[in-house]
Amino acid sequence: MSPIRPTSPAGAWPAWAIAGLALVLSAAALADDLVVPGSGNPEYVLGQLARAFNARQQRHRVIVPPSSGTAGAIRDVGENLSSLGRVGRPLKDDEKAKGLGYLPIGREPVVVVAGAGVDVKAITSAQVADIYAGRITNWRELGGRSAPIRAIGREKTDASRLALERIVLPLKEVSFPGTIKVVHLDPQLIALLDRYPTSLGFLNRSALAACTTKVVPLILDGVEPTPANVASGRYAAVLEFGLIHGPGGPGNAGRAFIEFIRSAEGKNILHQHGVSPVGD
Amino acid sequence: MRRPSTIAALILVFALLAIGSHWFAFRLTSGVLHEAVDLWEVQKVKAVGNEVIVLLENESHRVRLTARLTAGRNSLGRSLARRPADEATLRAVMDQAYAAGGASILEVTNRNQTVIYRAHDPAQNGDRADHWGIFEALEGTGALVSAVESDTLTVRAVEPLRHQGQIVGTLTAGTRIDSDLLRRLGSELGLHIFLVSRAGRTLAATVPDAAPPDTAAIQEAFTGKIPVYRHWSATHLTAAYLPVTIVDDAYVVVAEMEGGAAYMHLAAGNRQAALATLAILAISVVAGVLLMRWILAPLRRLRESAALTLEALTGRPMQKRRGDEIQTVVGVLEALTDYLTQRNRELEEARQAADAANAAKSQFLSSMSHEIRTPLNGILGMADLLRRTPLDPQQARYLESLAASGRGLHGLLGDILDLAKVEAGKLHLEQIDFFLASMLDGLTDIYRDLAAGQGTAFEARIPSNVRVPVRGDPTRLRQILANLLGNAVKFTEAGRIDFTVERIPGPADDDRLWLRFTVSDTGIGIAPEALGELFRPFTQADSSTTRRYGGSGLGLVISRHLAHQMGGEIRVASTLGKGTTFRVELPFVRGNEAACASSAEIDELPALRRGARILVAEDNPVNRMVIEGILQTFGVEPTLVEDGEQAVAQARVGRYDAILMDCQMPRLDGYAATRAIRAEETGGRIPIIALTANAFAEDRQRCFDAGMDDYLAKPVPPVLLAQALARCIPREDGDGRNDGTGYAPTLQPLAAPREAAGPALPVLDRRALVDNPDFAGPGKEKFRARIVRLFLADSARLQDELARNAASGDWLAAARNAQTLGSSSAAVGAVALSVTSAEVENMARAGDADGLREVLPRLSFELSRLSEAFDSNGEPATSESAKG
Repeated sequence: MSPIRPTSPAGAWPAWAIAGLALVLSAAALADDLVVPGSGNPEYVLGQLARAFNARQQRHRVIVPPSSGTAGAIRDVGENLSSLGRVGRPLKDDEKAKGLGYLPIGREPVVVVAGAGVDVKAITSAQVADIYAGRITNWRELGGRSAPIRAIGREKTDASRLALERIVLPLKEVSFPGTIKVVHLDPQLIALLDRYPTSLGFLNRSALAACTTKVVPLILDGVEPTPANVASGRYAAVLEFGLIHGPGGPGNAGRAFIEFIRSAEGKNILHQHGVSPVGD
Repeated sequence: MRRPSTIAALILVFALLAIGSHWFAFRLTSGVLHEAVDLWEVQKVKAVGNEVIVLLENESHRVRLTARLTAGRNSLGRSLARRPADEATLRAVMDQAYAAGGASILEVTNRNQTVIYRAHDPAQNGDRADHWGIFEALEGTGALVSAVESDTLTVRAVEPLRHQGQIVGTLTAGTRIDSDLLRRLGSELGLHIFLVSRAGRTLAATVPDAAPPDTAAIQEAFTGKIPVYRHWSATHLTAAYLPVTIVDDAYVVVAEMEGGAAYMHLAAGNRQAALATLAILAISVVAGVLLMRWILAPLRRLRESAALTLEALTGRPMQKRRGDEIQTVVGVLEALTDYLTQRNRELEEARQAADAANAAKSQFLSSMSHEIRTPLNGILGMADLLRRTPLDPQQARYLESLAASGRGLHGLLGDILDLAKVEAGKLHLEQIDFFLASMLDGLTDIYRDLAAGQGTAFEARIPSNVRVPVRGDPTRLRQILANLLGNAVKFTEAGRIDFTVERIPGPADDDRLWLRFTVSDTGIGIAPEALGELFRPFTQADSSTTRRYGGSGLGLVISRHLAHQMGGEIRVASTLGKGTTFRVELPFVRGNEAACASSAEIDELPALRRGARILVAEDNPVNRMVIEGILQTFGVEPTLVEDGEQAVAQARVGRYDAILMDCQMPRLDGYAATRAIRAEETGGRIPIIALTANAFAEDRQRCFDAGMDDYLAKPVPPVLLAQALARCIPREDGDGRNDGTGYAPTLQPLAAPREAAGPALPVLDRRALVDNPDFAGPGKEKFRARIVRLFLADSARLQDELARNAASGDWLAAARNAQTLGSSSAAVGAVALSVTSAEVENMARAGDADGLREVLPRLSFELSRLSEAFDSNGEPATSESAKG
C-alpha cells in the first residue's frame, strides 16, 4: 500500500493538517494484512497466536492460510510474495543462501497418532516400521480390536517424518506399499485421520488440535510425548518450527507479530499447545 | 576522397538511425516479451492443470453419487440379507445399474468382504475385498478412496448396503482415471496430460506410450509438494508438474502445452516490427529527402547567386558540384572570403595611400598658408604703406580696391585654413576667462552700425543674467556670432535683425552655464530644400547668392564645427522670403572675474619705448619693408636681416630689446636660429616674437618649444604687433600712452595731393577725439568709436546730398550740407575735411558751379582718407598718420 500524496500544493494546507494527515497516512502504511503462508506443522498454533495477536491490537492483522508446506513458504517468501512464512524445520544451507532469514518459534514432539476408533495406547518403533512396511495391517496384532490399520505416511522430505525417523530409525528405509496412503499436507493427514477411525499417522502434537475426532497420541516405546519428556530428551522425535523472512526483514507487521509470539502471552499460548518456545 | 552528396549522406544517416533504433528496441523488448510470453504460458498451463484436477474431482463426485444411488436400492440389501443371498436378483439389479453407466467399476461384497458381484471383472467374484473403505463401510461409514490397480488409478466410492437397519454388505462404484479419461479431458483443454504415481509410474497419458518429460521435475513436485513449472524455449514447450492429492493419495499431474502459437505470434510480431521499421525508414528517407530539398532550396538559390557573384567578382566560373549544396556554398564562401581578404588588403593599402595623400594635403595646406600669406602680407602691408603716400583720387580708389581684395583673400584664406584645421581635427579651442558681455557689446555695436548703414533695424537683447565672466574661447565664439550676424546683415537689405542672448536650462547633471544666442532676421530667407545644404562646405543656399552677395560659403560650416567642438549646436529655421533664425546653444564654464580683468582686450595701440631696438629677421623683402614701416611708426628702431644665420650673428654683436623672427627662412630657419640665440645667451633673456604664416596651433607650440616668447601670425595687424612688443619691452616712462606723442609717426607723407591747394592738411587731429583724455578710460573708447561711426555714416550721407543738391543747382541746400559737414568734421578733428568743407560751402553760397566741380572730388577724397583713418570698428587705424 503506498501512501496517498495530497494533490493540492502543500503550501495551501495548514501545518497541523499536514502533520495529522502524515500520521494517518503512516498509520495506514503500517496497518497491514500479514499473510503467513507455509508449513502445516505450526499452522494450528500459529493460527491461535494470530487470533490472539489480532484481538490484542488493531494495527496489523495476521492471517494464517491453509498449509502450502515448508516449500510453499520458502517459495512465497523467496519470491517476495510474502514477508513472512512458516516452516516446519530450520532452513537448510542452500535455502539460507537465497538470503532468507529464520526465526525459531518453538519445539514440540512429533507423535504417532491413532484414529478415534483405535483402542491401542502404546506402540513401539519396530511396530511403527512394520506397519509402514505393510507387515502389520491389523490393530489386533498390536493388542487392539480387529480392525485394519489405515496407515497414512508422508514424503521423505516431510519435517514430521524426519523428526519421527530419529526414533523410528527403520522408517528411513521403508518403501510404502500401495496400501499406505501418502499425503502432501498436514490438513490432508488430519482429514484422513478423522475420516478413518482405525487410521495411524504421525504429526506434531499441537497440530492434533485441528482434528475433529478424538485421535489418540500413542506412547512410543513407552515414552509419553509430554513437554517434560521432550525437555528431558527422553522423547527424541522433536521438530522445531519457526518463521522465515526475506532479505528485507519481516516488515513492521511481521516484527510486531514475532514480538507478540515472544511475549509472555505468546509463550503462554505455545505452552498451552505443548510447544516449548524457542528464541528470544 | 569525394564527399557524398548531401541527400545521399542524409539517407545514409536515416538508414543507420532507423536500423540502430530497431536493433536497440528489439534488444530491449525481446527479453521482456519472451519473459511475458513464458509467464503467460506458465499461467495458462497452471490454470489448465488446475482444471484437470477439478475435472478429476468431478469424476470422484460422480462415482460417489452413483454409489449412493445404487446402494440406496432396497432390493440390493434384501437380496444380500437372504440366506443364501439372492444373487440372481442382485446381479440383475447390478447389471442394470452398470448398464446405466455412471461407473466403470461396480462391486458388491457381503459382510465378510467377499466379492459377490464385480461387473467390470466377473472372473474375480469370490475374492476378498480388503481395500480402504470396505471395512469402514461395513462399520457404517461410506468412503471415497483411491487406489492403483493394475497400473491404473481408480477412484472408488464405497457405501454400506443395509437391510432393515443392518449392514449386510458394501457397494463400490468406481471409475478408472485412465488414458481414455485423460484424452477426453486433454482434448477439451488442448494439452497433453500425464498422471504419475509416487513410484514414478505413468498411470495415464493423453499420448499413448509417451513418457512425461523431466522426471526430476516430477520428483521435485512430490518432495517439494509445490507446483513445478518447466519451459523449453527451443520447442516452445511448457509443462506444469502439479502435486495433487486425488481423494486420499498423492500424485503428480503433468500438464504439457505446446506454446508454439504464442511464439509464432511473437516471431510474427518481430517480423512485423522489422517491416514497420523498414517502412518507417523508407517514409523517413522520402520525407527527409523532400524536406531537405525544401530546406536546401534557399541554400541552392544562395549557391547559384553566390556562384554568380563570385564569377562576377573574380571572373572565374565556380566549380559546381551537383547535389552537394553545403559543400558548394562552403566553397563559394571560402572563395568569397579569399576575395574579400584580398579586397581588404587592397583597401588597406588604399587607405594608407589616402592617409599619405591626406598628410600631403595637410603639408600642402601648411605650405600654402605660408606661401600665400607671405605675399599677401606683402600686398596688404604695401597697400597700407602706399596709402600713406600722396595719391590722386583715382589712385586712392584703386588702392582701396586692391586692399579690399587683399582683405577678402585674407578672409577666404583664413576660412579655408580653419576648415582644413577642422577636417584634420587640429582646431584647438582655448579656455580662457573673459567677460561675455564686453565681447557681445562690441559685436552688437559693429553690426548695429552695419545694419543701420543699409537701413536695417538692429535690436540686441543681452539681459543682465548673461553679463557674467565665463571660460571658453572668445575668439571662436566671436567668429561664430560674427558669421551669423554678418550673414543676417548681408542678406537683410531692409527690415530687421534681432540678436538675443538668453540662459537656457542645460541637460540634467550639467551645471554649466548654457546660453542660447539667437540671430533672427527678416531677410531673403532660405528655401526648405536648401536648408539641408546650408552646413556643407562651399554651399550657399542659392548659387546666385554667391554672385550677388559674395562669400565662400565656409562660414556656417566652420561655425557649426566650432559649436560642436564647444559641446553645443547650431540650428536654423527659415522661410523663403520672410527671414531666417539661427540659434546657437553653447555651454560655458563659469569664469573667474579677476582673470577676466587681467586679460581684458586692449584694442588700442599701446605706447612703446621710443628708440627701442628691434631686430627683424625676415627673408621676404616686401614683408621686411612692411614691418620696417610699421615699426618706424611705433618710434622704435628696426634692424633688418634676411635669414636665421644673419639673425644669430646680429644678435651676437648688437644689443636688442626684442627680436621679430620669421619661422620659414633659408639657410637657418627661425626655430633653429632661436635655439642658437638662446644657447648663446649668458645674461638676460632677449624676447623673441615669432612671425609666421603658419597659422596652426601646433606651429605656435613649436615656436614656444624652440624658445620663443610670443607668436604672431602674418599678416600682422600693427595693433597686435604693438601689443606684443609692449608686452615684452619694458617702459621707461611709466605711462606713455596718454602723452599724445607716443605714436608720433616718423613716416611723413612724401607729397601733398596735387589737387590740394596749399600745404597738405592733416587728415585727423588725434588730439580732438582719438587722443583726447576725456574719451580715454574704460567704456569711453566705445562711446568715442560710436561717435566716429555716426560721424562717418552721416558724412557719407551729407556728401551724397551735397552732390545731388549741387547737381540740381540747389546751392543753398548744398551750402547747408557743406556747413554741417564742416562743423562735424571739426568736432572729430578731421582737419582736412573740415577745411575742404568750408571751401565747398563758400563756393556753393557763391553758386560757383565750376569751382564746385573741381573741389567736390577733393572733398570725396578727404572723406575716403578719413574713413581709412578709422577701422571698421570706428577705432583710429593704427598705421594712419594723422598729424601733419
